[in-house]
Amino acid sequence: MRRASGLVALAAVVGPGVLAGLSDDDPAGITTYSILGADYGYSLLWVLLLSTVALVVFHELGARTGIATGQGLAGLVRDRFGVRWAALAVTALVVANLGTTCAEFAGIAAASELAGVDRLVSVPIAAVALSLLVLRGGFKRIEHVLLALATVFAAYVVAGLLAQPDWGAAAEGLVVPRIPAGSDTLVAVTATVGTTLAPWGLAFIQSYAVDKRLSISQLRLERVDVVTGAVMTGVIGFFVVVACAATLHADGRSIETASDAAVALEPLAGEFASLLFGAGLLGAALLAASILPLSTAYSVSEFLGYEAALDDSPREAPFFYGSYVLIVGIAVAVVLVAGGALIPILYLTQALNAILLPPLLVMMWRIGRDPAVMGGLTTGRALSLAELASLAVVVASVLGLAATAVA
Amino acid sequence: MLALTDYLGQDVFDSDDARIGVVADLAARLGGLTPRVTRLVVRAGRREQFALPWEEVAEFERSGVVLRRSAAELDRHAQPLDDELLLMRDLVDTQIVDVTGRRIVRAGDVDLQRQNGDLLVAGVDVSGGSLLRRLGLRRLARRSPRRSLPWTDLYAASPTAHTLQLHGDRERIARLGPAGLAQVIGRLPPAHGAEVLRSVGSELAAEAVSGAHPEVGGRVVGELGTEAAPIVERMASDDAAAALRHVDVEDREDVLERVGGHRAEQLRRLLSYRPATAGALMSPNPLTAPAGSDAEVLRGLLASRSPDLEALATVFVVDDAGRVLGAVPPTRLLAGSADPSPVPVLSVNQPVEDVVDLFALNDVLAMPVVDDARQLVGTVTIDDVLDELIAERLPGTRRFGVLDARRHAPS
Repeated sequence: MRRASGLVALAAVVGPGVLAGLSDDDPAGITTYSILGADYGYSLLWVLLLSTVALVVFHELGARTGIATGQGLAGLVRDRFGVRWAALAVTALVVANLGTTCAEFAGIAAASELAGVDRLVSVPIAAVALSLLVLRGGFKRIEHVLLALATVFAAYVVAGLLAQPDWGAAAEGLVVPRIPAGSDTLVAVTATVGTTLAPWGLAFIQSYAVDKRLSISQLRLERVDVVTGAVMTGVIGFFVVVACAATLHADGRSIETASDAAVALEPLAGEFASLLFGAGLLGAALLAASILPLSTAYSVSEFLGYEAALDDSPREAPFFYGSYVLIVGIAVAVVLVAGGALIPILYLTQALNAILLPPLLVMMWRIGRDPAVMGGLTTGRALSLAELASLAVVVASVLGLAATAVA
Repeated sequence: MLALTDYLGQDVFDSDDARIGVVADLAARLGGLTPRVTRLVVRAGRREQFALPWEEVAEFERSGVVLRRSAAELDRHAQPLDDELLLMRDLVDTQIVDVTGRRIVRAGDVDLQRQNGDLLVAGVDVSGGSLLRRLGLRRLARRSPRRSLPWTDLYAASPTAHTLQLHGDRERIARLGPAGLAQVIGRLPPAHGAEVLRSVGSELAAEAVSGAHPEVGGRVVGELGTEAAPIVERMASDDAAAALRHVDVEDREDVLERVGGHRAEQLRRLLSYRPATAGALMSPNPLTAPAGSDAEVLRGLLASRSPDLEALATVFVVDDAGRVLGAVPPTRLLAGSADPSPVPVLSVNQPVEDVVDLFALNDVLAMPVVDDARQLVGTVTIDDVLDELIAERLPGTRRFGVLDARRHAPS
């Protein structure tokens, strides 16, 4: 009886951690993991473990800050660091999120074309469906649909199992840090850290915890949600890497994108594994394509000082829904019209996300340590050190990426 | 109307026209209907900041601020007092509950007003224009409409402002009224909402909780714990039960134990009915009369009821076993007749949708609710149905403060 009521209480808080975590396993993330597995086999799995820890640490901070303050990140930055810093941060977030949303819709296009559906059909249908869901649905319905969508990620676990990986080598790669020789290794390491922890995810988890109206007494359970979400994100990454390591890497093949991986898996792990990989890609793209505009809409509304709530109607919250629809609309137009110009856009977006991440993490860390903001929920010493260590890993990755980009 | 941010960073001169620093902030003391500025906070160096009493200020203009005394005579160590609100730090860019607009907004600026040498806080500017102006986009800002909230119609939600309002501003908080307070508790963190209710007294708190969405009510009641007992006692039982449904079972029992007696029993019984049924929706204690009572008796019965309970004025005629024979609406009693007319009877387990349909089909203001033994146990009135329809119209049931119409007087 006691356990049953505990599960009910947990079910009531699940959402922020799982959705923010899994939105980081977007097509760009799956591509990074696929390349990691195809090029380096099992040897770089430890990087995934490291970035999962960073994800836990900072998503916990975001959710806790949302619960303690009742405010999203953009609003809190305006409150604590002034309107100019907030304007700068939100502008950068909007631009980076817009670019990333283009990447997600490009993922939808690629995944649907694997199944033989033209992007001129799939992309507009997906955009209209996602917009209708958010515009017409209330908080609970939207959350249910998004969580249901997230179950598609199980496809990667099955695809990984079908590839019959070498579990011993995988376990070793997970716990023994090694950096194989090669000029591109550093890029792969930094890209993996960069793709797992993302600015939009941090903004999203905090705003969403506020919109869900989680209370301080629910914080303990919300931490379970955050850890679950981050671990799921890591586990899915693990199975993607393992699937590609057992097949593509063993066969000496290299790939460019996640959809390449899906195609390449067919002769090696069977048609079903390939199909699952493609389906997972579509689900990942759909989930991220709904979360990104949402994260942006939350940030814009909070910066401007308007309430951002999924239970409000579009007439009550024009800026919130307006920015959602605008972001989706622009992203769809870019994906359908830009064609080849998409690649530099995605490249610049990744760079912007990387540049934005460290200052955002520093601001979050400072807010978390400030008792005037957090009341009784300030970050403790041990957790604060863990945050700083994660921050150091992220900063090192960003600097590493910058160095390789310049070289 | 002056805008606070226009003055921040302006030079401060002493009586000898020597520049001693810049305006860093203004401190104000709450109380009365509008707070009065009490101190000028001057930044004199990277680390040096002090607060001068407002009486020291001779001129406060956008071209500069001039003091009455020379730099040598100033107390450069004075700081704002604990009970003073720093307008820039504690108001600008923080969250404000717009009590009349029923939203939470962010203050873009503070509106100041001169009055007989004093400077008063008239309200806060919540328009996008104030934001554009502060970002240096003055041309754009001039074209966007101004929107200000008067100080009397808002609740400042920043931690410092919250604490100061509870101590120095109780009179104004009470003036926000039940509907305003319902907005405030719906939009503050539950712990802060609970503190606001503590400060206004249980009578007003009961009305505010009744006016708020039951989920909000449940959250603050859960936060108050056994302290909520006097509030629950003063609420109409259907409103109290609706709020208590959203409180954890153990906490709820603690509150009910403190309430005690017949009242607690009644609430426990209401809570035992399944949610979204007539039983969960009804008010207990309907007006009843034995068959054959004349109009005089029924009018006497009606007169004994609290005059605020206008929706509960229908008298139900029952037989010896407590079964419903018919209803006598108040209009018929006024006409001098006590003839009961047939009335559709609801069962406690009847789903809410049925109840709504039956009210739509039958031209009545109240319907009796009977238990499994067909005994009369309560009434569902037309206003309960209205609440239900409003809640249904919303996509989620979590939009707060919309149910202002839910205002029953205590029974």
